[in-house]
Amino acid sequence: MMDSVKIAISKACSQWRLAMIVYVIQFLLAMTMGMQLYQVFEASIGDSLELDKLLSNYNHTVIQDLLKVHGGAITSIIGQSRYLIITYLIFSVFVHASLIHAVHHGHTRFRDFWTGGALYFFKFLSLSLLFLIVYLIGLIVVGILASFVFNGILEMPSERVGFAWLGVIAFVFLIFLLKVFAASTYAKMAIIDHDKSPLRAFLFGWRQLRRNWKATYGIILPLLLIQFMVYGIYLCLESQSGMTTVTLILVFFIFQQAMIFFRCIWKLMIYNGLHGVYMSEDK
Amino acid sequence: MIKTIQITLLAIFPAILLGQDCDPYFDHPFSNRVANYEIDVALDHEAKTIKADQEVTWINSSPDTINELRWYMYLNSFKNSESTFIKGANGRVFGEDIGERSADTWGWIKVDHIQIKGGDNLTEGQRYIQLNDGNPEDQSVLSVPLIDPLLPGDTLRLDMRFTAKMPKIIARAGYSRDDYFLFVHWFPQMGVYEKLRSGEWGWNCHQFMQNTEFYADFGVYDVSIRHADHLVLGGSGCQVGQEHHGDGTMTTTYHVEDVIDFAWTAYPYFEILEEQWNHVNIRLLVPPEHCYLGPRYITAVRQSLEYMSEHVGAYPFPQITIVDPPLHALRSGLMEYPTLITVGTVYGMPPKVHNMESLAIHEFCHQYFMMMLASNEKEEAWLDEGFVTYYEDRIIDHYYGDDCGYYSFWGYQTGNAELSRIEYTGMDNPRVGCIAKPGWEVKEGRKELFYSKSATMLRTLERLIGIESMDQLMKTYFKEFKFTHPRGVDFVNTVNDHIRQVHGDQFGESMDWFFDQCLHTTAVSDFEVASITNLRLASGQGLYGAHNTFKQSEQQSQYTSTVKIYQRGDLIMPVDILITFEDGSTKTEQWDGAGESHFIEYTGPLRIVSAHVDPEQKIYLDLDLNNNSKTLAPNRSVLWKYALKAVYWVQNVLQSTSWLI
Repeated sequence: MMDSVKIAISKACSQWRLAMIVYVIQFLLAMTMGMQLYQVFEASIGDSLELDKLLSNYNHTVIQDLLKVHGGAITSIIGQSRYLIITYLIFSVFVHASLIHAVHHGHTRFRDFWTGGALYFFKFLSLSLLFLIVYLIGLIVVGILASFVFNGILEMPSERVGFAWLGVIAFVFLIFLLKVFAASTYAKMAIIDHDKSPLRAFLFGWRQLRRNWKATYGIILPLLLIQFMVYGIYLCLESQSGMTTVTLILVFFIFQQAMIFFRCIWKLMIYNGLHGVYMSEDK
Repeated sequence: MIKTIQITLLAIFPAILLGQDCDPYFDHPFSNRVANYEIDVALDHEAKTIKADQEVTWINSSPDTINELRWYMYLNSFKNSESTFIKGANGRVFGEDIGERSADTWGWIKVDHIQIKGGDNLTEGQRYIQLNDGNPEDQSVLSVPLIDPLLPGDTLRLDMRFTAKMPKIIARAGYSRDDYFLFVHWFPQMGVYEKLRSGEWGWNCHQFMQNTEFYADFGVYDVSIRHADHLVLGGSGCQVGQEHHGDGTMTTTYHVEDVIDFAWTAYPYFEILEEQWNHVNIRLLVPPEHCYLGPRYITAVRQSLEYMSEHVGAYPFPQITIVDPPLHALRSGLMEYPTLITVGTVYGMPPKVHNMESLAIHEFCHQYFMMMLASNEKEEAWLDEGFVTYYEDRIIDHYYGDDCGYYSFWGYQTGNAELSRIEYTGMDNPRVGCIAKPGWEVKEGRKELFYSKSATMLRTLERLIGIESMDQLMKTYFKEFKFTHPRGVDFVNTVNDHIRQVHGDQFGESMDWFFDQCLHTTAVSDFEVASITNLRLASGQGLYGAHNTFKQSEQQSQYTSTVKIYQRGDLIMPVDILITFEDGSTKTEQWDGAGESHFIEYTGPLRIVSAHVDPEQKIYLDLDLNNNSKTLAPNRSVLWKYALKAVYWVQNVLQSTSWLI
């Protein structure tokens, strides 16, 4: 199993050019929001001496006074982000088709990125909608369970019992999300490998997960652990100093972008790992 | 651990063996002890009722002959939806829809028998009166006419019998499941006969109305409670006796002196944690699931005792009881009674979120302003809530950090005083009302005005006169007026006397200009540095002489620099204005704050780089502190910091949501 993880990591690293494309797209989209926020801050309190207080620390008074007077401008940026997310979700379908196609064929070049998306965008879109329905059903079930717990918390011996139940529900939901993700990845591979229809691929994905659940978790969980470790290191560093000087702003920004790029590669690691499981059995 | 502490105490202190946990008897009275109560009460925890015999000793300390007695019967406010209190809440009290209640969840109280000791039976004459709003359904004030009037200086001794049914918790009073009880407004309590604001003597005994709290005379309370022995009790004052009857019941007795009320609680599952601070026993009653949080409450109250003793005055009582209700009874929390406070928290409260400490400190500070000073909370709530919030802010920020005292979590932080100010300045309409209004006249913004604006006003006063001066002033006020029911005018007069003595005419003849605006008007403050301009003066340059010879100026450039300041509000307060020049030198100007604008002009070789109105933020009432300053050399790195953070978080959101597809 560790060998499979190592192979997945090494293949993903060789596909860094593909990860770079995904990173650049995300960066450019995020920059539109960031620059808007810059301009709103500049127009509202850009020439106030109170701004200096925000350099060393979060300052609640400065932020709250800003929101009170100029909150409308900031909420409109947040409102825009909803549409940005929806737009990116649709574009993600293309990105995932491209990445999984590249993983399946072992492509590593910049120009190889666009092929998969162009070929399989609509099939992947249909498949994504099917899995989105599954996510929504799961979310509704979790919501109903959580609301039972909230409404009944005053009847429980203490709120500890309620919180424990909520923890169980959250854990089960996380496992559910992992399962749906793995099934959806296998389904996508089936479309690229055998050109299956979205519905057949949807059913195949669940079957594949059921047959190979040990190998699947054996790939996902170690890689998830790597992700948490990297994030934990970042949080430790940020809690020590944070963006409190011009130099540190630059340093931490670079660190943040490195983490974002790492996550793009990490997605390729997961795809490569699951692809290894997919290819290891007769279908 | 708790049992170990209790066993140790049992071994060391014989008093504990007698059921006494502290010594409640003062060497001398602190108050005039006008209204004194001896109550023997029996609790039927299954029926949620109490039956009690009450002996009241009341002194007519007025120059009037009294013909009737008036009593607070506030538990009747929870009898039905037509009471003044429930109607004023539009049927929702603390978020609960009261209209949905079943028959057994309402509460009431009635006097079964009232008689002068060895004298007239007054039972038949009692009637409910509604002098505030004329609502015939409201039974929160009882009038009992006297057959023989009571002369000035005479003492009345009454024997009473009453019955009460506790509601399922409404506005703190009542029961919850598992035999949890909080007994407040649970006995017929005398109103106050005093010199009213009109100047005449009369009863100050208002109906229980929304947005008002409580007002009563000082006295001594002896309360004996017979209850099932599975209940753990807590009460005002000290427990001075405990007797088991062998039939599954026991009697617990309390004694407390120089207080205005008596509250008690019962619950089978309370754990007891105690700590001694000097002469004060800090006693915490906490449900098992919150036991591990207990030390945080005790620390907060200990810090309050230390701070208030140092900065205001001594806490003379031998005990303070903290009651942390279980979650199902949380609506009985967050309230103050003499030497007993109710707080509230949930399991898992993070250590760096000091919400529970803030609550405990707030309720403890009420012991000074609600209990010892005991101003009329109904008519002048700011004298209690405003001062309490002000000291809550000071204590939290002192012990836990100015800008992170309330919480510090994942880089987000705030201090307590900041939150108080923001609660006021963040109102949709900060002009919605005045601070110095009776509670029943305030339809909107009660918390923001009485708590937050009042506290921010006091902080502004503190910053104007200096914290040492503020402490001196508060010590004087507390020393002079404790146990005397001071009014707002007493506080203002104390401030004026203090300012004259300590500061001379620095603030004018008095501070009336400050309090007249802050207490009695809706004026707001919002200073703004509108613009800074530096215009270069042309000098010694141009065409000169018969031949129009061009001359270049050889003199150093001179500038006319102007700072334009607006006061967008109408609160007139003097302010400093700090001007910084391009060589780093500074100058401080003053403005009395009158008028809508103010101009500062300089002519000289240096340009102005920045201007800052009220740089020390003395006028903490200012609605927007960000526009108090302007600089021509802004620091863009902060803008980049937040823009780049936003980029990072948007990228995170895009990556996370794309996992769904």
